[in-house]
This record gives sequence, structure tokens and C-alpha cells, in this order.
Amino acid sequence: MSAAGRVRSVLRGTPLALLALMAASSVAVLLAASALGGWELLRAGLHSPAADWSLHPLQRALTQRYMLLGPLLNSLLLAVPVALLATCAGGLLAWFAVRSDLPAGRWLLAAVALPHIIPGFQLASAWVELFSHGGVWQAVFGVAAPIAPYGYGAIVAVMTLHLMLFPYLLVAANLQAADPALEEAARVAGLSALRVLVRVTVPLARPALAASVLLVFAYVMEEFGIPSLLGTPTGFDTLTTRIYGLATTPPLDLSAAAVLAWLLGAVALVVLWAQLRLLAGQRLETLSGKASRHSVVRLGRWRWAAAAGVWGAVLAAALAPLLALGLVSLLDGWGQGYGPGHWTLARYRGLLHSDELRRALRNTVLLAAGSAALATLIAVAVAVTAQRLRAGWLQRLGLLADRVSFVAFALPGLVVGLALILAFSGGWMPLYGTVWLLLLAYVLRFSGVSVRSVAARLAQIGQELEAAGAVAGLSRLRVLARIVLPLLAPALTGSLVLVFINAVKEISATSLLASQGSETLAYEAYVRFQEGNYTQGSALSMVMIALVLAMLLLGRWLGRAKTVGVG
Amino acid sequence: MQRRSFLATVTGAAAALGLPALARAQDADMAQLYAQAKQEGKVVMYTSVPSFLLDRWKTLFKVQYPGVEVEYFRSGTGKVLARVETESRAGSLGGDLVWLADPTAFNGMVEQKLLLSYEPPEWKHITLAKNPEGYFVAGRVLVGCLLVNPKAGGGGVKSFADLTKPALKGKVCIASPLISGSTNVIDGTLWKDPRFGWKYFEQLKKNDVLVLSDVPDVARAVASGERAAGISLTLYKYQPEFANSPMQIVLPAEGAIPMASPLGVFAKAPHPAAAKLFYRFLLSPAAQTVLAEAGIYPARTDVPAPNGLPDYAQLKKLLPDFAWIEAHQRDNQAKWREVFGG
Repeated sequence: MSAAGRVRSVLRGTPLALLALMAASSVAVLLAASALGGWELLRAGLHSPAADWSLHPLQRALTQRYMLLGPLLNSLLLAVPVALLATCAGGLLAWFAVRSDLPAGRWLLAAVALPHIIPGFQLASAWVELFSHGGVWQAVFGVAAPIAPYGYGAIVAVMTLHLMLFPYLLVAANLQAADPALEEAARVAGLSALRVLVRVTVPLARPALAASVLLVFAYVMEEFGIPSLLGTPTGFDTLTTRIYGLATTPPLDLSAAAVLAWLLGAVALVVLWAQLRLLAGQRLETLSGKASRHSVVRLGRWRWAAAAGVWGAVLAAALAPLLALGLVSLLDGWGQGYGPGHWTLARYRGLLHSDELRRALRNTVLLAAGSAALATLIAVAVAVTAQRLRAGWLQRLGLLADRVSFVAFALPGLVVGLALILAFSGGWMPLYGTVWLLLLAYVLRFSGVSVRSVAARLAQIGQELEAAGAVAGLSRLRVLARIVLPLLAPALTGSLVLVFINAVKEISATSLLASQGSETLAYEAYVRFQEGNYTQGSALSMVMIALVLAMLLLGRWLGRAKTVGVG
Repeated sequence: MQRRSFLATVTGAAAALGLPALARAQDADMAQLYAQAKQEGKVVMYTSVPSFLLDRWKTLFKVQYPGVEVEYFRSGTGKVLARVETESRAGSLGGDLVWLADPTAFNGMVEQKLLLSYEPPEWKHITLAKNPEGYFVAGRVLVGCLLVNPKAGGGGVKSFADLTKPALKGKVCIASPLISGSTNVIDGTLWKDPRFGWKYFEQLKKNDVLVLSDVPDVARAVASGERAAGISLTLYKYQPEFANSPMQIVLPAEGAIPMASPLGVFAKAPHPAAAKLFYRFLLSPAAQTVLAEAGIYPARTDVPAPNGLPDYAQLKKLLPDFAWIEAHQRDNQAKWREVFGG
């Protein structure tokens, strides 16, 4: 090769090498931050003002009922019924969509996804706007709403609505994959449609149902926004709201917060372990290689009644919160009704005129885009090192990063946020209060999503093409860029969209980490609702929801983002 | 249009109140501060003051001192303090001034040497919450009162004691002292008072009181008719969002609870000259008139009380014991979490 050719080849390699270097350093930062955060969280819980190492915080948390046991009990009191309710509701809807001739059944997914796309705390605020005395319900129907705006029942309802999507997706996938021969046989044997459902379909769907229960349970345990807005006003505290209170109300009690965070983290990890066992044990049972089509259950004379019931409920649940937020975002004042005479666009104009809100919008877009790009880059690096390198320390490091990202994704946002505060306020790297800490938090929380989807896709790609590339004289990086990345494209798009959406919606870690200059839209909206500025909070919510929907549509348009948000 | 008339009022008030000779001397000092502040470029205040007031001051300040940007971090007193605590521990304090509802917090900040001793000429016109060493002074006086909505059944409410009546079961709301500093003072005053004490709060709890996070949310809940009555501050009735609502101010029969909320400059302010300039601006007659228009008692004795409220001297008061509140802070906080959570 001539000297000029060599120079050209090196130069052509530079951007790629830079990208690889960036990916490697991102993975290193991810690992280091996880280790440091975990260590600081552990240390904080074993620290008292009097001594560096002390069991005092632990003892205090365990002996004062209101500290730990009360909130833990409340969290469980929510998680168990919501997991069951959401699984029943989501499962039933999935059955209607996949196995019945319900009119427009395939649109059910969109209707179930909408309350999940709206962040939990905004759904909670919409609930208050709808059902409080003098709220939208009363304005429309003329009588007080028969539904409580705050408290236990409200939280259960809003969480069920918010999390129904997971059971829906899991059960729908299961129903589509299940072997139809068993149901056919039952039907031929003369069982009624209802009996087939109870005796055959449900037992076949058991793995999906169990997975749903566990997944929803985990999400309820870590949910912060909904109990914070609907529970705290009636004195109903969960582990998450208690951690938030201890870490944000002076005098700060970070030791006690850390002890509670251990517990919350431990619960998340146990549930994760149970999920993995469940998947490992039962994956194959529901799959069938045959491409036979399912016979659809004809609802017959019930068809239109079912349509009215299902669609009425689902549409009301999906659209009412959105309408309430939209309506309140237009109000110019309180106590004069909700008519068009009292509408104004001032809250939306505020987004252009207020420095804070402009900054929040900019931060949100940049953070979401940045964390999506970094998480995807990390995912490619991790998947390639773990799957394509010969066994060795580098490959093991890749596997480790894979596991770490997975665990970090399973951990509640408040736990991650608290660990990052402890690790990065003061000390040698005072990132607290900057957007960089939020970026780190989002990458930590969501790179697990990217790693999952990219790793799964990479595992499906045979290595012959890469071998061919190598034979043709392409360098390793070049094989990666020219052959592997194009094949990974659907997973990369999916990862970008998912992380972007999750980052826009993130409030658990953000509530602890955002500060002057690093506000996000979600944070500003949360603060507005908390201090009672429902009009501005609702307007910010509408903008956020629009942003998320636009991203989803973009993802669909790019053609491959198959699932909706995961957080 | 609205802004122009507001500016006209303010400038008029400023002109009427200015004493020429003194003003010149002050002007020289201010001009020097302004020149330095322009080089610093901006000033950052940490505060719990409502944003609509901050926006008005920002506009006014921009007219008087162009070239110095005003930024603020606005949240409940608790959040602001948490931020000060975390940032000063990290050695990265981003704020120049601090203005909170809760005076007890200031003693703590003085002890930690976070504040600057600074007594500009404006101090002469202020009598409340004056720190003898010059670390802070009242910037405004918030008044804790009842907000009621007669349309929602709050018409008969005249006193704090009325809130525990069975007729108001499920119709009262209050704010959390863990988040709202002014509520911490109001509740602290009631906890200490033998007529109320924790018994009063337990009765409220039995009456299904709703504990919202912050005082403006109490105003929202009362104004919208969600609740009939609540404990909050006078100022909300004057906000455009609530001005036309059926919500009314009731000065409680036992006495309203005044809180002179202190203003101070951080010793390690990143923009020291701009900090002093903005401090003096906030204590000027023009800026203080903005307060009175918003339903808040000005700290300056030469600026009149808000429209529709009695003069500060005539107001029946239930005075807070800040030392007691500070001394019992931890116990009361724990007790609050036990009774109400949060």
C-alpha cells in the first residue's frame, strides 16, 4: 500500500475509531458510576452523624413504624391488587383483540397504550382534575363525581390504567403464539366457548399471566409520581414517597433514605430474579412452530354489546384524562366554570416566554436525544463484545456490562437517583445540579432497554456475512459499520425511540436530581402540579404528550419500532 | 397595556417617595454596583416567592438596570433549603440571594456562615426580622389566614377552630409543613398555642382534612370548589388566576399569623455586585409596591398595606415563636410524618 493510501485509510477509519472509543468510554463510565453509586448507597445507610459506620439508621428505620414498615406495607397493599387487576383487565382486552371478532379489535392496542404514554403523575393529576369536587366531571354531569379524587382507591385505579399495557402485550403475544390445536380439540369435544376460555386458553396463557403479574408488581413498587400526588394528601405513603420526603425535606435524612432504598432495590431484584426463572422455565411451552391460523371466537349476539362495553370503557379511560388535561391547560382562572369564555392560550405562550420553561424544553429534547444516542451506542458495544469476541477479559467485561445495564433498568428510579446524589454531590466530581448527572441517570436507567433489543437482534444475525467481509479484507470496525450495523438497524431505531420516550417521561430520578438550569419538562410539570398550578402543569403535560406521540409516530414511520414505551 | 399601567404606578410611587439628596448619594453607590453587576452579567435568587411576583420584578429590573439578567430557582422553602444544603456541601453554590418564608432557616444559614453581613440604606425603613449583625432582613410579610369558598359551603367559617366542626368534614384542606415553609410557621404557631396543639391537628385529621403539598394548591382547591375552606395565605386572592373566583379571605378570629420573610445575600455569591444591586432593588419602594399590589404586606413601613386588608398595626395577630418552632422542628416533623405521612 502506498504511503498516501495508508494515510487515506487511517483517516477514513478515524470517525469509526472515535465512535468505538466513545462507546468504550461510555461503557466504562456506566460500569464505574454503577459501582460508585452502589457503594455510596450502601455506605450512606450505615452512616450516622456521630460515626462513620453505624447501625443507627437501620435501627431507626426498623423500629419506627412510620419510617419503613408503614410505607412498605402500603406499597405492598398497592402492588398486589394492581398487579392482579391490571393483568385481568389487560389480559381480557388482549383476548378480545386477538381471539374474538370484536369490531376494530386491533385498535385496542392504541387505546390501551395511550394511558401508558401519559406519564403516571400526569395521569394522576388528570384524575384530580376530573373527579375532585367542582371538577370536570361535575361540570359535565352536574352532580359530584362518585369516584374519590385522592387516596388508596384512586391510586389503584390510576396505576391499573397506567400499567395495563404490559399484561396486554404479554398476553396478546402468548395468545398469538399458542398452539390452536388444543383449543380446536376442546371445541370439537363439545365445550362451549366460555369453557374453552376457562379450561384451555387461560391455563395456556399462565406463563404470560404470571409474567404480567410480576412485571406490574415491579412497576407499582417503583412508581413515584402517582402515589406522590394522590397518596400523600391523604397520608398514604409508599416506600418511594417516603424516600423522596427524606431526601428532599430538610433537615435531610439521607441515611434513612438509603436504608429504604436498599429495601426497595432488593424487592426489585427479587422480582427480577423471579421473572428470569419464570422465563427460563416456561418459554417453550407456549410456542408452536406451525403457522396455523387461530379460529376466532364469534361473539354472536353479544358482539355489539361487547363492543359497546369494551370500547366505551377503553375510550373513556384513554381519552378522559387527555381531555381533562387539555381543558385545564386552557383555563384562565378557577371557580368560574370550564366554558370557552374562560379559555386562554397563556400557559402555552408561557412556554415561549418563560426562561425556565424554554430551558426545560431544550433540556428535555437534548437529554432525551443524548441519552438515546449514548444508550444505543453502549448497547452496540456491549452486544458486540459479549457476542462476537473470543472468550477473554474483554468479552467478560461485555457480559458484565450487559448484566449491569439489565439490573440498573430493573432498579427503581428513586434508588438510582439517590445513589447518584450520594456519589456525585461534592467529592471529586460535583456533578449534582448539572444536566450531566441527569444524562448519566437516564443512560444508567435505560441502556438496559437498548442492550436487550440490540443483543437479541445481533443474536439472530449469522456470522457468515461478517466472515465474508473479513475475507474481502475489511477491518473489524469496517465489518461492523458496513455489515453488522445495517442489519441491526431495526433494533437501533427501536432502541433510540424507546430510550427517547422514557427519558422524556422520567420523573423518579429527575425529581431528586433536577435543579436550576437542569430542569426538564417532566420536572417542571411535576412541580407545577405539586404546588397547585394545574393550569400550567396541564399545558406542559400536553406538550410532553405531543412530543412522545410524535416520537412514536416517527418510530413507526421509520417502520420497525414494534412496541410502545416501557417505562 | 396592563404592563404599562403597572409600570406607571410603580414609577409614580418611586418618584413620590424618593428623597432627592439621599437618593443622589444612594445613586452613586447603586451606579457603582450596577457597573460591576453588568460585568457579572446576571444574578440568581433562590426563593419561595411566587413566580408571578418574580416575573414582575424581573420586568421592572430589566427597565431600571438593563444588561443584568435575573434568574431564579423557585420552589417550596424545603426544596430551596435542600438545594442550598446540597450545593454548599458540594462547594458549588449557584445562588446569589436567598428569600424564604421561614425565618428559622436563616439562623441556621447564619450559623453555617453562608450569609453576608450587608446593611444598605434601605434598612432604615424596615423594622421587622432585622438580624442584629446584618445578615438578613424582612423583605415582605406573609399573612397566614383562612381561605373560604361560600359556594362550596365555607360561608360560616370565621376561625381556625371552625375547621374541626362536623359540618366541614371532608371539606377542609391544608398544606404540608414538610414542603411549605409558611405552613411550617402557621402550624408551629398552632402547635405551641395551648388552645390548639397537636390535638387540633388530630381533630383535623379526624375531619378528613386533605393535606396538599403547598399553599397555592390550597388556594386552587378552595377557589375551584374542591374544598370549602383551607389554611393558606392572603396573597392568593390577589392572583389573576383566583381574583374572579368565589374564594374569600377570612382573617381568623383567633388572629392572623404574620411571617416576616427574610431576605439575605450569600457570602459566596458567584455574582457579588449583582447580588447587592438586586437586594437593594428588592427593598426599594418601587419593588415593595409590587408586593402590596399582590396582596402581600410590604416590609417597608412607608409603603401602604394591600387593598382591602387592614394596616399592619391594626391587624389582629397570632405571633409565631420562631425560636420555639426551630427548637421543636425535628420532633414536630417526625410527629407530622406519624400523623399525616409525607
